[in-house]
Amino acid sequence: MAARTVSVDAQRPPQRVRARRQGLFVQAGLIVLAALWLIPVVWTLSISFRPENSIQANLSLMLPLPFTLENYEFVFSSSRLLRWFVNSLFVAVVRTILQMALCSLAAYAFARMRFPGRRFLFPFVLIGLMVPGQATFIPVYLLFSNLRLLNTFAALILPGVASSFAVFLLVQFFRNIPIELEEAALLDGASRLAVYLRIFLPLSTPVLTTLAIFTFLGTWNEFLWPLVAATDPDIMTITIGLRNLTATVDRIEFGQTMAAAWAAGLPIVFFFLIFQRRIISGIQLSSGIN
Amino acid sequence: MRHKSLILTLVFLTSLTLGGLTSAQEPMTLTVMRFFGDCQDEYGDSVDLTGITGECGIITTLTNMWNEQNPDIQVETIVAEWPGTTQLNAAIAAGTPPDITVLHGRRIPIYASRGALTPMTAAFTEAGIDLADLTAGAADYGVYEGEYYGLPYDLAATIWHINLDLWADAGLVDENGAPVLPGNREEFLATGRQIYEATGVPFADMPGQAATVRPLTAFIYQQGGSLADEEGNPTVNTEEALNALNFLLEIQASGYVTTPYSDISGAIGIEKFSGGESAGVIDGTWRINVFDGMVAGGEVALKNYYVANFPQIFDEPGTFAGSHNWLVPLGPDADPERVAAAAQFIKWLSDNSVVWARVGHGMTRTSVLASEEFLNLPHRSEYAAMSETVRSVPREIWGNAFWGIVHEEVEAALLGVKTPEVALADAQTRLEEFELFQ
Repeated sequence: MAARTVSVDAQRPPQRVRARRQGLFVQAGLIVLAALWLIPVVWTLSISFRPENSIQANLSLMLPLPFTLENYEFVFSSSRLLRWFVNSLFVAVVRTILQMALCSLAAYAFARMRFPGRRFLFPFVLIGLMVPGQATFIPVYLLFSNLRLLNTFAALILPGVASSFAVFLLVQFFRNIPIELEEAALLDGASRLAVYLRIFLPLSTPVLTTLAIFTFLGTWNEFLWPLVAATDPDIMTITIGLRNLTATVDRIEFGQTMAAAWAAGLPIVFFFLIFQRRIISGIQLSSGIN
Repeated sequence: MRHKSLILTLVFLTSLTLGGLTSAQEPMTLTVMRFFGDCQDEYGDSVDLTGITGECGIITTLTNMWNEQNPDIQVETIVAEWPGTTQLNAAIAAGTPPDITVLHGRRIPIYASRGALTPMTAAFTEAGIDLADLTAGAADYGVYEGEYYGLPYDLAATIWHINLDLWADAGLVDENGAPVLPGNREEFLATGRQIYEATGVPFADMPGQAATVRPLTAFIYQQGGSLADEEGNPTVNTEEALNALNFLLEIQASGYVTTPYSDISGAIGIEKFSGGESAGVIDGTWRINVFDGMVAGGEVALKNYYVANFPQIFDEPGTFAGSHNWLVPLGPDADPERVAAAAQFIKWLSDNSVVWARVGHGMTRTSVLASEEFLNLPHRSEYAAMSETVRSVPREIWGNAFWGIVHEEVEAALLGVKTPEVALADAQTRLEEFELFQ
């Protein structure tokens, strides 16, 4: 019996080899999945470099043949493209900064300070996670309309500044910072603000960076709110401006539409390439994967 | 003291006079919320319509021309995302609606029934719009409960785009160079078979809604059927509807017609038609310039292009169409001066609607259909009769929901997921439920 067992074991490849094979299979599977995901992306890129007549005659061709830059010329010839680009950048950057500041302060208070109503207020903030944006859309719109803030940058920036998700994420992170650090600083005479600024913020760089990246990406890609909040072309963000440029029923301009999509998305692609390690660790952080 | 009083009086009188003059010279500004895209870079300063064929270029130029000719009533444009309802709803909710907007006619009942629109019959008439000039087919599109709320500007109908060379290969082109069109159920299938046997391609591709809600509705109307009873309740589960759906299933099963109902954008239909892989495509009026452009470019298989009306299979002519309508979303108690100004601008657009025909859409005015300018446009005479035979969905609040619901149920029947009887019964139930909750 024992000899038979030895014989079977001897036929098996070593564990290291098995693990390597499994790894190869997983990698091969991931490559296939990545390729499947890449096909439509490459397709849109290819279409953006093809003349319209050729696209409509053969939409499914993956190669950019014949090759043309005319779609990008159309998109970049818009005198307002730069303006919309700057608007988007301004809105995304300012909202990100404000959200970091406001939500980290709120999170610090919830995580470390004792004040009347804290037990009631925190769940109340969390309820915001469960209410979909569509449900609050009209009330928020009416609020900004009554404040006469529609068609201003304030309308584009302010609604996203207070974020339940950001507060929740930061509270969880702040709670894990050793309380001894805070107590030592308070004993040394540091104020609450100093503790927040000099201990909590520096220690929270990873989570704040993650949050900043997601807020920036989300704001840059936002469509529905800017669509109704900013109808003035001078205030529009790039997602709305480019959509308006290419949206007509009688003109099917796939090439221009795809070029516009890439023009709007390119900064995000670069942003991802630069911060990809942070973004991936951020996804792990926010999903609880270690 | 006396001098001081005199000076004060003079200052007061002068300010009154200047104030009066200023207010008299101040132009009224109307806001127009519309889709059709943004082409300010190309047409922002354009006041010449020569050679413009696209929706955006035409409407932008017409607006510029109006502003140039009417310094007392200036028009500002807000470009909305198609179909224009998201921004309009938000603006109405906030109490800041535009003075004029454009909507598809089937949406008018739902807005009008909620008091969001201004009744316009009197204002249109006072502005000099001849409502009697609207074609028999178009007249209904702007109406709700006997009142005009919108002025139908065009008819975005389903028509038959035909590759004449492939029809000629099957011997189906007459001595005038026109295709020999089928006139009933049997002829439709026989024509399909003849073309398929001669060319190996289907004789009609029906992408997206051109395979579902549009032909179903047209075929119901062609049998003299109705989509609503006398009280305005939906009646989709009828004998005529079952006949129509069975015919759609029959032509799908024949193989002579392809029904890619998932091709919502129609892009695949265009590719097949221009590439000679189908002898025809049943799609919207807005494709005409696309195909004409391809033929002119000479790089596609399509060389001889013809446009025909939607096929008549049953006893009566009947084509399904949507319609862009200009309307005033200021509610029933709107300022009469603004309403009158808005009606003037709408009249201006209507008076120049022959230019809009360049887009391909059907025209709503009898006088425009008879005009030389219209008849000189390519293909327009081939399908002009459609303007008299088009039918809208019933002018009821469920009319807009009809599109989506019937499209889904017909699609389920074409997929074989539901029998035609079940699909129509489900459509009826869903429409009744929709009506119940309005």
